[in-house]
Amino acid sequence: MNSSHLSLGDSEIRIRMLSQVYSASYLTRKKEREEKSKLLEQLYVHDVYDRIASDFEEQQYQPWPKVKDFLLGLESGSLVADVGCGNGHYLNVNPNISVIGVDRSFNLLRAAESRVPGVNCRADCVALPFRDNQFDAVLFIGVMHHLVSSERQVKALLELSRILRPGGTILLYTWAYEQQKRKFNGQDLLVPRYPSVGEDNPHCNCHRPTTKSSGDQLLTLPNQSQLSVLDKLERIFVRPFNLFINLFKLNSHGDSIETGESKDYINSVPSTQSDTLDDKSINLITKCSNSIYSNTLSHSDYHYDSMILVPKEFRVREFPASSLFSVSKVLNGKVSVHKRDCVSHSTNPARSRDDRFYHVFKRGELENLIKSSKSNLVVSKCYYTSGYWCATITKNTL
Amino acid sequence: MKILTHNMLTSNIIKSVKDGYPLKIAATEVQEVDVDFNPEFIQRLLAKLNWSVICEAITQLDATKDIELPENLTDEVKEDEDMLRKIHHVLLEVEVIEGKLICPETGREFPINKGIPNMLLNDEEV
Repeated sequence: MNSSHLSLGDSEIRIRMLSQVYSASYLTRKKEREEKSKLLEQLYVHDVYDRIASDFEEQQYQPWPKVKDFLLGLESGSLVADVGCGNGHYLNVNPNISVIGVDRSFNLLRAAESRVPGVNCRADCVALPFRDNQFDAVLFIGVMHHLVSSERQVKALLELSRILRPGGTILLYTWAYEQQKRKFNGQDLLVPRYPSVGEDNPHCNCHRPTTKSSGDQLLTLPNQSQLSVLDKLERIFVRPFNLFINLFKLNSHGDSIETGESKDYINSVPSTQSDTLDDKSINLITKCSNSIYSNTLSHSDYHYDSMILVPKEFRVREFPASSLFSVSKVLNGKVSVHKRDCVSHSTNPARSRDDRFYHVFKRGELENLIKSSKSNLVVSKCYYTSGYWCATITKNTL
Repeated sequence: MKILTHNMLTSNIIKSVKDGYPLKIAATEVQEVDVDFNPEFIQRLLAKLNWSVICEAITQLDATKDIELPENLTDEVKEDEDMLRKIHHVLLEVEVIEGKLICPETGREFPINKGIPNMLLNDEEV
């Protein structure tokens, strides 16, 4: 290009040039981000599940009743993919359908194999080794919250959509930000694992990071060894994210999740279960958290434009370290630490190794994510149950 | 890995691969198990599976290579209980424990270990 075409006053050309520079460096960053996302998932999801797989067999985990009902309601001969099947407790719920289990963790798959042999395979949910339009239904139970970025979440949705036949259904469960007995310090969390899972929680499920019904359990502060790990992580992961620069003021195509929450909410079906949050308390929690944690950048702050991610405004996302800092101080003005947990924590260095990454979803976020995925997927029902957002999603026939 | 599972698997997630289907099977250890026979289930399942791929798959395993299946899946075949039993056996009672799946286009091998095919890809393949 002849440089004489560029006069300083020609703002249109300057913007075009800037946008080229921006998109080139953006693509590099996108690739970097992707690499980091994969690494994070490996460290904080895949490796952890492989290590703790044996715990799932020792404990009596209950399948979600509504997932069971869903499987029992499918017609005979249906083909189902259970993506993120874990130890496979949905594989043999209905003998008249055929369920294929998929997971990343070889050790969990071995447990699934011992339950129903020959129907499991190891794969990543963003690259499923199945033909297009094949399955009548897909289960995606407790998997979405382990994907560290919204790009990966959308990728997974598109992949589920690809293998699903038109008219088929996805049943999706993901951990909610809105909780009755605890309060999260952000949406990207590292959740410690407690070996006592399942002792006194009748709803205990292997996908659920919850332990007892007591809310104190997550409210622990990191000890010294954790902090050093987090420091390292911050150096690797957080700083590059801070380089996001908002060059253009772009009109976003939708409101943020928070502002759109009640209007955009589709078919809210309040569950009759006793532990269901009513709308009022959800609103209260969301409102409260917004005012306190407005400086963190969440997934919902991104908007998709032809699959290019554009930050709505420049903010530092405290990722992924934010979660380990207690939120109890928000509630009662001082930090409370569960002493017994701290003691056992420091004597058990393996514990922090088994922290798992979760992205907890705010009300309406899942629906917006599905809308932004530009797939044929339509949310036909979405509801809250026992600390989870659940969605029944259909693939359009067109 | 049952032959039923094999019927659904493809290597089309590799970026250079178009169909990746069907995957070739090279088994070193196969096991046969008993599964309850449900003729109606098999009939319905057959409507969703690729018949020629089933026929091709059984020729690749010692345990099933002598089993004869008709070339075409006619209504007659689907009503024949003996035939349905054969199909039931092939689909559900034969399991590849050790071996590999091979991409028909690139030759990429996916190991089968303890009955579980490993379909994970390397970064450069996606």
